[in-house]
Amino acid sequence: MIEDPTLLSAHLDGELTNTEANAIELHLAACTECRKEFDELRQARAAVRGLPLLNPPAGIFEDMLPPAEIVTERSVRYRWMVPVAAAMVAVVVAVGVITTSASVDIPMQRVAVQHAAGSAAQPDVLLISVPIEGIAR
Amino acid sequence: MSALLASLVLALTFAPSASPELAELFSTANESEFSGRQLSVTFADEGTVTDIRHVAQSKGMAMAETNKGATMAGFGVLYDDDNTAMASPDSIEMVFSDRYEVSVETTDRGIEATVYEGEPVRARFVFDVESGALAMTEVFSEGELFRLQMFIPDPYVTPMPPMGDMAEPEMMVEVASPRLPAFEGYQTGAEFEAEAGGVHRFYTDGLFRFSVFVFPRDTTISGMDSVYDANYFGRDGYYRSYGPSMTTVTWQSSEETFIVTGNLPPDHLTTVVSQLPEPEPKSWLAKMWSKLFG
Repeated sequence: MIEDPTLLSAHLDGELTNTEANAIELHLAACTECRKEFDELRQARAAVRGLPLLNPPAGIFEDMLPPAEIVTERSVRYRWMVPVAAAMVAVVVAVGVITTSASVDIPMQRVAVQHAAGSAAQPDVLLISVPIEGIAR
Repeated sequence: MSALLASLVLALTFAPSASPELAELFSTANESEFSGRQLSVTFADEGTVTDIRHVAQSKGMAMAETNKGATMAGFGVLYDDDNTAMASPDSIEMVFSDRYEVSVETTDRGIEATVYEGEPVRARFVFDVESGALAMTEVFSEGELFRLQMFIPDPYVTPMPPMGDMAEPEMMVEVASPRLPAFEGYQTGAEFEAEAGGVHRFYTDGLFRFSVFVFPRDTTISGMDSVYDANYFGRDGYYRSYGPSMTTVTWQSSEETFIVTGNLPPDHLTTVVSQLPEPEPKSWLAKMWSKLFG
């Protein structure tokens, strides 16, 4: 069973890289449970997309809005703070996510080369195996 | 030849080995000349990973090439095709772990060296009788075939570029106070500086080899292909990638970013990973973010 089921949905939406999509297809070919789930996802998507588009009846949005309020100067002063506070929370969340994600990126190729350099220095190592492990690309 | 390379060649000639039969087969293989394709198949939990790349060996140099790049190795130096080279000043005395036993016999496939770890076969190497080149490698994990590599020869030998055209190697710099652990059953040497304030240590048991890298927490690793979520001992937060001869696992603890990369079979890799700090559990916000945006 695929560990991350959201990959099936992503695959259906064409959001995976070629390598990821190939890996998913290989798994689906071998796993009947995931294949069944994938087919159900596909059917559900097709069913939703097949629903007819409707025009809403006139006045439906007005019926959904709350009754107009008497706006005082004080309530206006506090009212602008609500979207600003929401924006600040969004900024805090975004900054929190950004600062916890990477500020330094290291290519795996560099890591592979340093590991292979360690192998290259070893006596009795099988020589042809060393450059093979030096390629992460 | 520079004094540095001369000393490295000397180290290669006189270093001892505790598995003389396999060492002799490797030595003969290292002297053979060939060009061809190496086909690799890894049977991973996430699926089968296949790879084919051009390989060549001649006059003490070996090369591996894909359409994305090439590396060469020889005389203790690793060359990358962006004209960089790296060498380690440290070589580990090659002690074949006593958990392995080797038996060698000639069959109709060639000279077969079978490595046992206890009762099950752990690895098998098949060498061509005439040239001595390595024709096939099988690695097993818990009795099942984990990795298969086969060599398909060309009718010619690719010439290697002259040594004079190669970059001078960057020497790995040893750290003053090593902090990476030793792992039972593996030999290790010095600890070295790595990129961006990281550290690196190399380990081998004579059959398998791997490296541990530790970087500051705010580090990501790019360019890893086919990365899958993985968990060890019921803990998630690990990311695993299978290459043609390597498996790489990376994760972040609360303080650092770890990479374990090498040709370890899965059971050995699990043992190594288990002895390093665990991943930091994802916060509810990070879990929600992952669910919504992947």
